Amino acid sequence: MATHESTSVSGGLFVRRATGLVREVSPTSATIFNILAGAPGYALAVNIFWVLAVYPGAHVIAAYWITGVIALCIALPFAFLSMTIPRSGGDYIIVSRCLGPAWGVCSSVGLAVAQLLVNAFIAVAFVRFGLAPAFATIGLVSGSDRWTRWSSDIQSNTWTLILALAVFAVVVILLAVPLRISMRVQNVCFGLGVLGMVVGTIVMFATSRSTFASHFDKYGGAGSYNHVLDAAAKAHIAAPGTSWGNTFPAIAVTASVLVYTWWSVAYAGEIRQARTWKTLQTMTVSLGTFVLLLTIPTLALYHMVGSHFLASANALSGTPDYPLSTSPVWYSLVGVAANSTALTVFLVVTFLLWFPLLMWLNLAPPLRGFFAWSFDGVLPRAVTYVSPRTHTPLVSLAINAVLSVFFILWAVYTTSFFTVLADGILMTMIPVLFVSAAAILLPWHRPVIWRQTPKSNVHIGGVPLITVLGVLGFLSASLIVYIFLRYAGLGVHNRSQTIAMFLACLPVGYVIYQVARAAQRRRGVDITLHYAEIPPE
Amino acid sequence: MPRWRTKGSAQDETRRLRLYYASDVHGSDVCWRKFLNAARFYSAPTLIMGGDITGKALSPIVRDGDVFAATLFGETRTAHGEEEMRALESEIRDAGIYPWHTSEDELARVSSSSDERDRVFSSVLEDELRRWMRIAEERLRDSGGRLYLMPGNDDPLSIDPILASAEGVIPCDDAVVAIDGHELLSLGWSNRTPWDSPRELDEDDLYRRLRALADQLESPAAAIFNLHVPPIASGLDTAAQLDVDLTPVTKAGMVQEAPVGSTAVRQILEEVQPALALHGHIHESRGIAKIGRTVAVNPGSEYGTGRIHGLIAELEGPDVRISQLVSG
Repeated sequence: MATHESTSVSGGLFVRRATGLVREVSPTSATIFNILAGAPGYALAVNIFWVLAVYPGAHVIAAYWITGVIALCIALPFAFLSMTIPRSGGDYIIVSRCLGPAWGVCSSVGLAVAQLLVNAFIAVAFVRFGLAPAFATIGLVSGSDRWTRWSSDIQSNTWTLILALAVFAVVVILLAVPLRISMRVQNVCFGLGVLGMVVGTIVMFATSRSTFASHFDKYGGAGSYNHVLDAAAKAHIAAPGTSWGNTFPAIAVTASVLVYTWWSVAYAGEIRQARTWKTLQTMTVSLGTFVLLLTIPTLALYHMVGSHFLASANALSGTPDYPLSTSPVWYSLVGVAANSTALTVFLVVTFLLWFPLLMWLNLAPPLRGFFAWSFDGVLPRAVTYVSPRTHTPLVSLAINAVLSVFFILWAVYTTSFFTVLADGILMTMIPVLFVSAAAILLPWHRPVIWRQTPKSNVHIGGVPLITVLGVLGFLSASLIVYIFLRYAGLGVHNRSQTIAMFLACLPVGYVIYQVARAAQRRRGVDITLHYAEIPPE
Repeated sequence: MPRWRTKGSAQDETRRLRLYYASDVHGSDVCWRKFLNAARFYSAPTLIMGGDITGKALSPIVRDGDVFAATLFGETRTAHGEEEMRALESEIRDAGIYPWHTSEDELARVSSSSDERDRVFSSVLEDELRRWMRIAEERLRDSGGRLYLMPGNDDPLSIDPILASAEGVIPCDDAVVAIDGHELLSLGWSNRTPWDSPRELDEDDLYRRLRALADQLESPAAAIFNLHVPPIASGLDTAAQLDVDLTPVTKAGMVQEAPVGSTAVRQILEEVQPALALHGHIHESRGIAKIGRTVAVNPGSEYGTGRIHGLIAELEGPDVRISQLVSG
């Protein structure tokens, strides 16, 4: 039995031996997690395909770096507020504490819908952007018509739904089994995904353009490499880096994968000693690393196939002027360049692993959100049931699974491919806007919390630093929303419907909160007390 | 270790008991003042504090003429004049850190000696706790509330006499006390932790002590257990896994979590099945769970933010009518 007190000196304080004084999780670990949330291999494929297919003259590399700055502005309010309120729960916790619980529910509704939409997109993309081109690539390189036929068949609505639900079921099972097992699967997926990307990049740098052109001609027919360039010239398809007007929407596309560098706030806020600058450091480092992980393979791709060819191939894909049956995504072009069935299969498999990994990561925030709501009396306590055997939240998972199935059905049958993603990214901006608003108002609305923010004594032009950061985050998120609504090519075809869905989170969140409040009052519980601050004096 | 039993009307009353419970304020001055005001704010005249009252850190405030300098949240803060110094002092206290006025020379001397640091820390901690008890006495007198108070595993043994001497405060550690028709069984000791904190026991010893207390209960089904450490694998005890270096274990950037509660506490709850079990200890594992018929609660703690997490509960006989987590 220890009865002594042994103090040490740490960070200018005397610290006595007591529970909870853990060291910081390494910035490397948090950085990996934040990078993981964007899945670089998947991001590279979607980003280049989306930008160059719709806005071919865009400065792709410049868009990465400009978006990096915008994403940093978005991450700053999250970083500062999580350093002040170092708890898991992400936007809901921050907004609830800083603005009030009803606003927290509104923000959380936005994020939950966003993640369900993005997950529905990923499930469908797994089939139409993952499996189908993967089968086509294997068929092309191996010369097997069967693979090419399967590539075409699985793009029907019925097969898409079946396979999308199948991959989703795998993800749900992963979330239902003990964390130890699902983490092992996640680590393997992440490791193989990164390995595939590294191998692909090495092949891209090692392959000359002439070698690629000759291999492309082998699969597409003699002269087909030059034919693609000629057809693009006739169609006035600009080479990348020739149009700043097209770079503007490219920023929004890049934002769809780069704006998640605050993701670690939702998971590990309370155990990273988040009061230190390490929180901001990990977000900044992960952003920089992610931008490099997009930049280097893109430059490698330019080196191997030529930037003009890449833009032409993406713009002409699916037309008679593009001779290959597979989309010109990076792994299929590497497969063509390597001229090896084994390498192609390896790249395809490692690429496909990003999809369940992303869905797994995307489902976790709504699950945590349900827990936070339940603790606050907004949802019944039964929602927090955790299996004593697997220690996983089965009820919460089941609710999310049912909702996800509806969103996947909607994504397959009633809307276009990129509309689901565009709507999802727009809804992701809702918690960003709420957290930014919380940062803006904090010094006046919650002065006690504000005084605990880092550098709370710093003012810029007389305005508290946290407010300035909130304004930056708010403007950055607003810019992304504006671009998505301004450029129909990004997927928002019915602007008024999207805006209605965007704004609906306010009344929906408010109604959910008020209904819960009334129901709890009947039980004798006043949920307005949950966050009512006790006067200290 | 004091062991006593306050004889009272455990069985002859069935009126409703409304209480407010909080734990792990760890020296946060603002949380302590909010806790004492909770009786009036939540209309819950019975206050229970579940341990880990004292702070873990001390911030030297070094004076140089009219300028005072201290470290807070990793930054050096300076104050000019007495008024700013008082504000800085309050800010340090609200964060759960004890201010200690010193000079450069004294700081250098004390910093370099483990014994001196321990002596200074103990002295400041005990002074601050006495100040807290004076605040409690004043406020409880005004509000008419009752405060049941026990230390937790992080609290030094030297504070027990200070808690026992405060007027209007009912020390309840390692005891069964009557409380409006219910019995409150309290124990602030925990199972072993990686930090070797002042009040830790092996699971067998912990169970024996709990069993001895439980044997004193007259109406176990209506009892309230106030046990600092939560039951193992209850969802109220999930914390980061630590390696030998006290660093959280991560895989692919995700912190690995594990149940770290007590098997002894779980066993006694399963055997006795009291109405309500109040726990703290694991700050990040806020929640409400059922162990058989027992409603077990850990309100968690975020004392560093100035918000106090707590529980409002209403009991009527053996039934828990309301159990509501609040953050005030």
